[in-house]
Amino acid sequence: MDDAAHRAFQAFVVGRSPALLRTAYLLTGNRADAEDLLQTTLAKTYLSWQRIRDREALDGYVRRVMVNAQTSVWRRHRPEASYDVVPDLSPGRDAHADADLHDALWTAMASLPRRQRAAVVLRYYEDLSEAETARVLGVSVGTVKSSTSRALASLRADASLRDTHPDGALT
Amino acid sequence: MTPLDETLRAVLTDRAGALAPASDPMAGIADRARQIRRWRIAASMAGTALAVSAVAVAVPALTPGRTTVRGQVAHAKAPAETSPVPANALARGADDRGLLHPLLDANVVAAWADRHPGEGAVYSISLISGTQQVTPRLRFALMEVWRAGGPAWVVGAQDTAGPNPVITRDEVVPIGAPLVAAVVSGPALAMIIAATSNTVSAYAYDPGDGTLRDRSRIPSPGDFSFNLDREPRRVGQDFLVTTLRDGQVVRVPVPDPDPAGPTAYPSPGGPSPQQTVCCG
Repeated sequence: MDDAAHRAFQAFVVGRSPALLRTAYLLTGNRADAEDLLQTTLAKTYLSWQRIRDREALDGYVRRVMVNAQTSVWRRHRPEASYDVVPDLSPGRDAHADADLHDALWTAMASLPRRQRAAVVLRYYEDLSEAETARVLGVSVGTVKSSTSRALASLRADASLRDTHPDGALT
Repeated sequence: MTPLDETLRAVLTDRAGALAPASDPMAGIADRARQIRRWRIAASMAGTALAVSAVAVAVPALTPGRTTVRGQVAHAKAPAETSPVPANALARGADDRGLLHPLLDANVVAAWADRHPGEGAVYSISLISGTQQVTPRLRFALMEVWRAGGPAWVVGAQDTAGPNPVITRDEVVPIGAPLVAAVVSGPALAMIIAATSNTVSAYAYDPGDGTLRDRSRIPSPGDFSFNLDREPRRVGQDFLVTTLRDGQVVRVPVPDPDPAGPTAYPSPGGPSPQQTVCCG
Protein backbone atom coordinates (compact mmCIF):
# COMPACT_ATOMS: atom_id res chain seq x y z
CA MET A 1 0.00 0.00 0.00
CA ASP A 2 1.45 3.39 -0.94
CA ASP A 3 1.68 6.28 1.49
CA ALA A 4 -1.38 8.10 0.21
CA ALA A 5 -3.55 5.01 0.49
CA HIS A 6 -2.17 4.28 3.94
CA ARG A 7 -2.98 7.79 5.11
CA ALA A 8 -6.47 7.51 3.71
CA PHE A 9 -6.99 4.20 5.46
CA GLN A 10 -5.66 5.62 8.71
CA ALA A 11 -8.01 8.58 8.47
CA PHE A 12 -10.90 6.22 7.88
CA VAL A 13 -9.99 4.12 10.91
CA VAL A 14 -9.56 7.09 13.22
CA GLY A 15 -12.83 8.61 12.07
CA ARG A 16 -15.02 5.54 11.98
CA SER A 17 -13.67 3.11 14.54
CA PRO A 18 -15.67 4.50 17.50
CA ALA A 19 -18.93 3.88 15.66
CA LEU A 20 -17.74 0.54 14.31
CA LEU A 21 -16.71 -0.56 17.79
CA ARG A 22 -20.19 0.22 19.06
CA THR A 23 -21.75 -1.90 16.34
CA ALA A 24 -19.29 -4.70 17.02
CA TYR A 25 -20.18 -4.50 20.69
CA LEU A 26 -23.86 -4.90 19.97
CA LEU A 27 -23.16 -7.83 17.69
CA THR A 28 -20.95 -9.67 20.16
CA GLY A 29 -22.25 -8.57 23.53
CA ASN A 30 -18.94 -7.87 25.22
CA ARG A 31 -16.05 -5.48 24.76
CA ALA A 32 -13.27 -8.03 24.35
CA ASP A 33 -15.00 -9.80 21.51
CA ALA A 34 -16.03 -6.47 20.03
CA GLU A 35 -12.45 -5.24 19.90
CA ASP A 36 -11.36 -8.51 18.36
CA LEU A 37 -14.14 -8.35 15.77
CA LEU A 38 -13.31 -4.75 14.97
CA GLN A 39 -9.63 -5.51 14.50
CA THR A 40 -10.46 -8.42 12.18
CA THR A 41 -12.87 -6.23 10.23
CA LEU A 42 -10.38 -3.42 9.81
CA ALA A 43 -7.61 -5.85 8.88
CA LYS A 44 -9.75 -7.33 6.12
CA THR A 45 -10.67 -3.84 4.98
CA TYR A 46 -6.97 -2.95 4.97
CA LEU A 47 -6.25 -5.92 2.70
CA SER A 48 -8.95 -4.75 0.28
CA TRP A 49 -8.37 -1.03 0.63
CA GLN A 50 -6.77 -0.29 -2.70
CA ARG A 51 -9.38 -2.31 -4.51
CA ILE A 52 -12.34 -0.47 -3.02
CA ARG A 53 -13.21 2.14 -5.63
CA ASP A 54 -16.47 3.47 -4.30
CA ARG A 55 -15.66 5.29 -1.08
CA GLU A 56 -19.30 6.26 -0.71
CA ALA A 57 -20.15 2.59 -0.29
CA LEU A 58 -17.33 2.03 2.17
CA ASP A 59 -19.55 1.90 5.26
CA GLY A 60 -21.75 -0.75 3.69
CA TYR A 61 -18.70 -2.75 2.67
CA VAL A 62 -17.22 -2.61 6.16
CA ARG A 63 -20.53 -3.57 7.74
CA ARG A 64 -20.70 -6.61 5.46
CA VAL A 65 -17.16 -7.59 6.40
CA MET A 66 -18.00 -7.20 10.09
CA VAL A 67 -21.20 -9.26 9.93
CA ASN A 68 -19.51 -11.98 7.91
CA ALA A 69 -16.55 -12.03 10.29
CA GLN A 70 -18.90 -12.36 13.22
CA THR A 71 -20.64 -15.22 11.48
CA SER A 72 -17.35 -17.03 10.91
CA VAL A 73 -16.46 -16.55 14.58
CA TRP A 74 -19.64 -18.31 15.51
CA ARG A 75 -19.05 -21.00 12.97
CA ARG A 76 -15.77 -21.83 14.62
CA HIS A 77 -17.84 -22.79 17.64
CA ARG A 78 -16.35 -20.37 20.03
CA PRO A 79 -17.94 -20.51 23.45
CA GLU A 80 -21.07 -18.45 23.74
CA ALA A 81 -19.98 -14.92 24.54
CA SER A 82 -21.11 -13.48 27.82
CA TYR A 83 -22.86 -10.19 27.67
CA ASP A 84 -21.30 -7.35 29.59
CA VAL A 85 -23.30 -5.73 32.32
CA VAL A 86 -23.17 -2.01 31.62
CA PRO A 87 -23.57 -0.22 34.93
CA ASP A 88 -24.93 3.15 33.84
CA LEU A 89 -27.83 4.12 31.70
CA SER A 90 -28.15 7.42 29.96
CA PRO A 91 -28.84 10.30 32.31
CA GLY A 92 -32.44 11.30 32.68
CA ARG A 93 -33.78 7.79 32.50
CA ASP A 94 -35.75 6.29 35.32
CA ALA A 95 -33.23 3.72 36.50
CA HIS A 96 -35.72 1.86 38.63
CA ALA A 97 -38.41 1.63 36.01
CA ASP A 98 -36.23 0.74 33.05
CA ALA A 99 -33.12 -0.91 34.41
CA ASP A 100 -34.61 -4.35 34.97
CA LEU A 101 -36.32 -4.32 31.61
CA HIS A 102 -33.24 -3.11 29.79
CA ASP A 103 -31.03 -5.65 31.50
CA ALA A 104 -33.49 -8.40 30.69
CA LEU A 105 -33.75 -7.34 27.07
CA TRP A 106 -29.97 -7.08 26.73
CA THR A 107 -29.58 -10.53 28.23
CA ALA A 108 -32.31 -11.91 25.98
CA MET A 109 -30.40 -10.62 22.95
CA ALA A 110 -27.62 -13.07 23.81
CA SER A 111 -29.85 -16.02 23.08
CA LEU A 112 -30.79 -14.86 19.59
CA PRO A 113 -29.25 -16.71 16.67
CA ARG A 114 -26.42 -14.71 15.09
CA ARG A 115 -28.32 -13.73 11.96
CA GLN A 116 -31.34 -12.56 13.92
CA ARG A 117 -29.16 -10.57 16.26
CA ALA A 118 -27.33 -8.98 13.34
CA ALA A 119 -30.67 -8.09 11.74
CA VAL A 120 -31.88 -6.49 14.97
CA VAL A 121 -28.69 -4.46 15.38
CA LEU A 122 -28.73 -3.27 11.77
CA ARG A 123 -32.44 -2.38 11.82
CA TYR A 124 -32.79 -0.95 15.33
CA TYR A 125 -29.39 0.54 16.04
CA GLU A 126 -27.90 1.32 12.63
CA ASP A 127 -31.39 2.29 11.42
CA LEU A 128 -30.88 0.64 8.09
CA SER A 129 -33.84 -0.03 5.88
CA GLU A 130 -34.89 -3.58 5.12
CA ALA A 131 -33.24 -3.34 1.72
CA GLU A 132 -29.99 -1.98 3.15
CA THR A 133 -30.00 -4.66 5.83
CA ALA A 134 -30.55 -7.32 3.19
CA ARG A 135 -27.52 -6.08 1.27
CA VAL A 136 -25.32 -6.16 4.34
CA LEU A 137 -26.46 -9.64 5.34
CA GLY A 138 -26.40 -10.94 1.80
CA VAL A 139 -29.98 -12.18 1.99
CA SER A 140 -33.33 -11.20 0.52
CA VAL A 141 -35.59 -8.52 1.94
CA GLY A 142 -38.07 -11.26 2.80
CA THR A 143 -35.44 -13.01 4.88
CA VAL A 144 -34.69 -9.78 6.72
CA LYS A 145 -38.38 -9.35 7.51
CA SER A 146 -38.76 -12.90 8.75
CA SER A 147 -35.51 -12.83 10.74
CA THR A 148 -36.47 -9.60 12.43
CA SER A 149 -39.96 -10.83 13.13
CA ARG A 150 -38.69 -14.06 14.64
CA ALA A 151 -36.16 -12.18 16.74
CA LEU A 152 -38.82 -9.90 18.19
CA ALA A 153 -41.10 -12.86 18.83
CA SER A 154 -38.27 -14.61 20.69
CA LEU A 155 -37.59 -11.54 22.77
CA ARG A 156 -41.26 -11.16 23.67
CA ALA A 157 -41.45 -14.79 24.66
CA ASP A 158 -38.23 -14.66 26.69
CA ALA A 159 -38.85 -15.83 30.21
CA SER A 160 -36.77 -13.12 31.84
CA LEU A 161 -38.69 -10.43 30.02
CA ARG A 162 -42.01 -11.96 30.98
CA ASP A 163 -40.87 -11.96 34.59
CA THR A 164 -39.98 -8.30 34.31
CA HIS A 165 -43.19 -7.32 32.62
CA PRO A 166 -45.79 -9.98 33.41
CA ASP A 167 -48.58 -7.76 32.14
CA GLY A 168 -47.28 -7.99 28.58
CA ALA A 169 -46.45 -4.32 28.29
CA LEU A 170 -43.94 -5.01 25.56
CA THR A 171 -46.41 -6.57 23.17
CA MET B 1 -43.86 1.39 16.41
CA THR B 2 -44.53 -1.06 19.20
CA PRO B 3 -43.35 -0.66 22.77
CA LEU B 4 -40.83 -3.42 22.14
CA ASP B 5 -39.45 -1.60 19.11
CA GLU B 6 -38.96 1.55 21.15
CA THR B 7 -37.45 -0.27 24.10
CA LEU B 8 -35.15 -2.29 21.92
CA ARG B 9 -33.92 0.83 20.19
CA ALA B 10 -33.33 2.49 23.56
CA VAL B 11 -31.47 -0.49 24.96
CA LEU B 12 -29.15 -0.75 21.98
CA THR B 13 -28.47 2.97 21.95
CA ASP B 14 -27.79 3.07 25.69
CA ARG B 15 -25.50 0.07 25.67
CA ALA B 16 -23.52 1.25 22.69
CA GLY B 17 -23.37 4.83 23.92
CA ALA B 18 -21.80 3.79 27.21
CA LEU B 19 -18.87 2.19 25.43
CA ALA B 20 -15.57 4.06 25.57
CA PRO B 21 -13.71 4.22 22.25
CA ALA B 22 -10.45 2.37 21.75
CA SER B 23 -7.33 4.35 22.65
CA ASP B 24 -5.41 3.38 19.51
CA PRO B 25 -7.69 2.07 16.77
CA MET B 26 -4.79 1.42 14.41
CA ALA B 27 -3.03 -0.88 16.85
CA GLY B 28 -2.70 -4.43 15.67
CA ILE B 29 -4.41 -4.02 12.31
CA ALA B 30 -1.30 -4.66 10.23
CA ASP B 31 -0.37 -7.72 12.29
CA ARG B 32 -3.90 -9.08 12.05
CA ALA B 33 -3.86 -8.50 8.30
CA ARG B 34 -0.67 -10.52 7.99
CA GLN B 35 -2.22 -13.30 10.08
CA ILE B 36 -5.27 -13.38 7.86
CA ARG B 37 -3.14 -13.42 4.77
CA ARG B 38 -1.01 -16.32 6.05
CA TRP B 39 -4.06 -18.28 7.14
CA ARG B 40 -5.74 -17.85 3.75
CA ILE B 41 -2.69 -19.14 1.92
CA ALA B 42 -2.18 -22.06 4.27
CA ALA B 43 -5.83 -23.06 4.10
CA SER B 44 -5.85 -23.07 0.33
CA MET B 45 -2.53 -24.86 -0.06
CA ALA B 46 -3.73 -27.68 2.11
CA GLY B 47 -6.50 -28.68 -0.22
CA THR B 48 -5.37 -28.02 -3.76
CA ALA B 49 -4.55 -31.14 -5.70
CA LEU B 50 -4.38 -29.78 -9.21
CA ALA B 51 -1.27 -28.57 -10.90
CA VAL B 52 -0.95 -25.60 -13.14
CA SER B 53 1.78 -25.00 -15.60
CA ALA B 54 2.03 -22.40 -18.25
CA VAL B 55 3.56 -21.81 -21.58
CA ALA B 56 3.88 -18.56 -23.41
CA VAL B 57 4.37 -17.98 -27.08
CA ALA B 58 6.26 -15.01 -28.43
CA VAL B 59 6.15 -13.66 -31.94
CA PRO B 60 8.99 -15.58 -33.52
CA ALA B 61 11.87 -14.06 -35.41
CA LEU B 62 11.35 -15.80 -38.74
CA THR B 63 14.15 -16.73 -41.02
CA PRO B 64 13.10 -16.54 -44.66
CA GLY B 65 13.65 -19.68 -46.66
CA ARG B 66 13.36 -23.26 -45.62
CA THR B 67 12.55 -24.35 -42.11
CA THR B 68 12.75 -27.95 -41.07
CA VAL B 69 9.91 -29.00 -38.87
CA ARG B 70 9.09 -32.39 -37.49
CA GLY B 71 9.99 -34.40 -40.50
CA GLN B 72 8.56 -31.88 -42.95
CA VAL B 73 10.40 -29.45 -45.13
CA ALA B 74 8.33 -26.40 -45.67
CA HIS B 75 8.77 -22.89 -46.83
CA ALA B 76 8.46 -20.42 -44.06
CA LYS B 77 6.67 -17.23 -44.86
CA ALA B 78 8.73 -14.09 -45.20
CA PRO B 79 8.74 -12.31 -41.92
CA ALA B 80 6.19 -9.62 -41.50
CA GLU B 81 7.17 -6.36 -39.99
CA THR B 82 7.35 -7.31 -36.41
CA SER B 83 5.95 -4.78 -34.09
CA PRO B 84 6.19 -5.51 -30.43
CA VAL B 85 2.92 -6.50 -28.86
CA PRO B 86 2.03 -3.92 -26.27
CA ALA B 87 2.36 -5.20 -22.77
CA ASN B 88 -1.34 -4.67 -22.18
CA ALA B 89 -2.49 -6.16 -25.46
CA LEU B 90 -4.53 -8.78 -23.70
CA ALA B 91 -5.48 -6.83 -20.62
CA ARG B 92 -9.16 -6.16 -20.33
CA GLY B 93 -9.32 -5.06 -16.77
CA ALA B 94 -11.78 -5.69 -14.04
CA ASP B 95 -14.13 -3.08 -15.41
CA ASP B 96 -14.73 -5.14 -18.53
CA ARG B 97 -16.03 -7.87 -16.34
CA GLY B 98 -18.57 -5.73 -14.60
CA LEU B 99 -18.48 -6.05 -10.88
CA LEU B 100 -15.21 -6.83 -9.21
CA HIS B 101 -14.16 -10.29 -10.18
CA PRO B 102 -13.76 -12.82 -7.37
CA LEU B 103 -10.14 -13.46 -8.31
CA LEU B 104 -9.29 -9.78 -8.33
CA ASP B 105 -9.47 -9.09 -4.67
CA ALA B 106 -7.19 -8.54 -1.76
CA ASN B 107 -6.55 -12.26 -1.56
CA VAL B 108 -4.73 -12.16 -4.88
CA VAL B 109 -2.80 -9.04 -3.99
CA ALA B 110 -1.83 -10.45 -0.63
CA ALA B 111 -0.92 -13.85 -2.04
CA TRP B 112 1.25 -12.25 -4.69
CA ALA B 113 3.07 -10.13 -2.12
CA ASP B 114 3.70 -13.16 0.06
CA ARG B 115 4.97 -15.21 -2.84
CA HIS B 116 7.20 -12.46 -4.16
CA PRO B 117 8.64 -10.65 -1.15
CA GLY B 118 10.80 -7.68 -1.88
CA GLU B 119 9.23 -7.00 -5.25
CA GLY B 120 7.55 -3.88 -4.05
CA ALA B 121 3.96 -2.78 -3.80
CA VAL B 122 1.30 -4.22 -6.07
CA TYR B 123 -0.65 -1.43 -7.71
CA SER B 124 -3.25 -3.35 -9.62
CA ILE B 125 -4.13 -6.70 -10.99
CA SER B 126 -6.29 -7.02 -14.05
CA LEU B 127 -7.68 -9.97 -15.90
CA ILE B 128 -6.23 -10.98 -19.22
CA SER B 129 -8.62 -13.84 -19.75
CA GLY B 130 -11.97 -14.87 -18.46
CA THR B 131 -12.04 -17.04 -15.41
CA GLN B 132 -12.10 -20.72 -16.15
CA GLN B 133 -14.04 -22.79 -13.64
CA VAL B 134 -12.23 -26.06 -14.04
CA THR B 135 -13.82 -28.04 -11.24
CA PRO B 136 -16.30 -27.01 -8.55
CA ARG B 137 -13.25 -26.16 -6.43
CA LEU B 138 -10.75 -24.79 -8.84
CA ARG B 139 -10.82 -21.81 -11.09
CA PHE B 140 -8.06 -19.89 -12.67
CA ALA B 141 -7.32 -17.01 -14.95
CA LEU B 142 -4.54 -15.18 -16.63
CA MET B 143 -3.75 -11.84 -15.09
CA GLU B 144 -1.53 -8.83 -15.48
CA VAL B 145 0.08 -7.65 -12.29
CA TRP B 146 1.40 -4.08 -12.10
CA ARG B 147 3.86 -3.70 -9.32
CA ALA B 148 6.69 -1.46 -8.29
CA GLY B 149 9.19 -3.61 -10.19
CA GLY B 150 7.19 -3.48 -13.41
CA PRO B 151 4.39 -5.47 -14.98
CA ALA B 152 4.16 -9.24 -14.98
CA TRP B 153 1.75 -11.70 -16.46
CA VAL B 154 0.57 -14.39 -14.14
CA VAL B 155 -1.37 -17.59 -14.35
CA GLY B 156 -3.28 -17.84 -11.12
CA ALA B 157 -5.06 -20.88 -9.76
CA GLN B 158 -7.58 -20.42 -7.01
CA ASP B 159 -9.00 -23.02 -4.69
CA THR B 160 -12.51 -21.95 -3.80
CA ALA B 161 -13.09 -24.65 -1.22
CA GLY B 162 -12.27 -22.54 1.80
CA PRO B 163 -14.18 -19.62 3.23
CA ASN B 164 -11.55 -17.27 1.85
CA PRO B 165 -10.39 -18.62 -1.49
CA VAL B 166 -6.92 -17.51 -2.42
CA ILE B 167 -4.59 -17.91 -5.28
CA THR B 168 -2.72 -21.15 -4.84
CA ARG B 169 -0.17 -20.89 -7.59
CA ASP B 170 1.11 -18.17 -9.82
CA GLU B 171 3.66 -18.29 -12.59
CA VAL B 172 5.16 -15.36 -14.38
CA VAL B 173 5.06 -15.51 -18.17
CA PRO B 174 6.81 -13.22 -20.66
CA ILE B 175 5.23 -9.86 -21.32
CA GLY B 176 4.04 -9.21 -24.85
CA ALA B 177 3.28 -12.76 -25.90
CA PRO B 178 0.40 -12.99 -28.33
CA LEU B 179 -0.86 -16.04 -26.48
CA VAL B 180 -0.65 -17.23 -22.93
CA ALA B 181 -1.72 -20.73 -22.13
CA ALA B 182 -1.86 -22.98 -19.14
CA VAL B 183 -2.31 -26.67 -18.62
CA VAL B 184 -4.40 -27.81 -15.71
CA SER B 185 -4.33 -31.42 -14.74
CA GLY B 186 -5.33 -33.64 -11.89
CA PRO B 187 -7.25 -36.79 -11.22
CA ALA B 188 -9.40 -37.44 -14.25
CA LEU B 189 -8.75 -33.98 -15.58
CA ALA B 190 -6.45 -32.52 -18.15
CA MET B 191 -7.20 -29.42 -20.07
CA ILE B 192 -5.55 -26.47 -21.63
CA ILE B 193 -6.76 -22.92 -21.43
CA ALA B 194 -5.45 -19.93 -23.26
CA ALA B 195 -5.95 -16.25 -23.73
CA THR B 196 -5.00 -14.60 -26.98
CA SER B 197 -4.33 -11.14 -28.27
CA ASN B 198 -5.74 -9.81 -31.50
CA THR B 199 -2.81 -11.30 -33.41
CA VAL B 200 -4.12 -14.85 -33.13
CA SER B 201 -6.86 -15.98 -35.47
CA ALA B 202 -7.10 -19.76 -35.02
CA TYR B 203 -5.79 -22.67 -33.05
CA ALA B 204 -5.56 -26.43 -33.23
CA TYR B 205 -4.08 -29.25 -31.25
CA ASP B 206 -1.57 -31.83 -32.39
CA PRO B 207 -1.76 -34.81 -30.00
CA GLY B 208 1.76 -35.82 -30.89
CA ASP B 209 1.09 -37.88 -33.99
CA GLY B 210 1.12 -35.08 -36.54
CA THR B 211 -2.65 -34.88 -36.85
CA LEU B 212 -4.69 -31.83 -35.93
CA ARG B 213 -7.86 -31.67 -33.92
CA ASP B 214 -9.95 -29.09 -32.03
CA ARG B 215 -9.41 -26.69 -34.90
CA SER B 216 -11.20 -23.46 -34.28
CA ARG B 217 -11.17 -19.84 -35.19
CA ILE B 218 -11.39 -17.43 -32.30
CA PRO B 219 -12.47 -13.83 -31.94
CA SER B 220 -9.82 -11.32 -31.15
CA PRO B 221 -8.96 -11.07 -28.40
CA GLY B 222 -10.32 -14.38 -27.16
CA ASP B 223 -10.16 -17.24 -24.75
CA PHE B 224 -10.32 -20.91 -25.43
CA SER B 225 -9.97 -24.21 -23.68
CA PHE B 226 -10.27 -27.85 -24.51
CA ASN B 227 -9.73 -31.19 -22.90
CA LEU B 228 -6.45 -32.96 -23.35
CA ASP B 229 -7.53 -36.16 -21.72
CA ARG B 230 -8.47 -37.97 -24.89
CA GLU B 231 -6.76 -40.62 -26.93
CA PRO B 232 -4.57 -40.48 -28.74
CA ARG B 233 -2.22 -38.22 -26.87
CA ARG B 234 1.52 -38.51 -26.56
CA VAL B 235 2.36 -36.56 -23.46
CA GLY B 236 5.49 -34.54 -24.00
CA GLN B 237 5.16 -34.73 -27.78
CA ASP B 238 1.94 -32.80 -28.32
CA PHE B 239 1.64 -29.23 -29.52
CA LEU B 240 -0.69 -26.27 -29.40
CA VAL B 241 -0.75 -24.92 -32.93
CA THR B 242 -1.74 -21.29 -33.33
CA THR B 243 -2.22 -19.29 -36.51
CA LEU B 244 -1.48 -15.60 -36.43
CA ARG B 245 -3.40 -13.10 -38.50
CA ASP B 246 -0.41 -12.41 -40.70
CA GLY B 247 -0.35 -16.08 -41.64
CA GLN B 248 2.42 -17.22 -39.38
CA VAL B 249 1.80 -20.53 -37.70
CA VAL B 250 3.41 -21.27 -34.41
CA ARG B 251 3.63 -24.66 -32.72
CA VAL B 252 4.19 -24.64 -29.01
CA PRO B 253 4.95 -27.77 -27.01
CA VAL B 254 2.29 -28.56 -24.44
CA PRO B 255 4.13 -28.83 -21.16
CA ASP B 256 3.95 -31.77 -18.82
CA PRO B 257 1.76 -30.86 -15.88
CA ASP B 258 4.59 -31.12 -13.40
CA PRO B 259 3.69 -29.36 -10.20
CA ALA B 260 7.29 -29.41 -9.06
CA GLY B 261 8.27 -26.35 -10.97
CA PRO B 262 7.38 -23.91 -13.69
CA THR B 263 7.74 -24.77 -17.33
CA ALA B 264 10.53 -23.07 -19.21
CA TYR B 265 9.06 -20.42 -21.44
CA PRO B 266 10.35 -19.44 -24.83
CA SER B 267 11.04 -15.75 -24.48
CA PRO B 268 10.84 -13.05 -27.15
CA GLY B 269 14.05 -13.17 -29.09
CA GLY B 270 14.92 -16.60 -27.77
CA PRO B 271 14.83 -19.92 -29.60
CA SER B 272 11.89 -20.02 -32.01
CA PRO B 273 9.27 -22.71 -31.73
CA GLN B 274 9.05 -25.10 -34.63
CA GLN B 275 6.85 -23.91 -37.40
CA THR B 276 4.90 -25.47 -40.14
CA VAL B 277 2.70 -24.22 -42.89
CA CYS B 278 -0.63 -25.59 -42.05
CA CYS B 279 -4.06 -25.01 -40.76
CA GLY B 280 -5.73 -21.71 -40.73
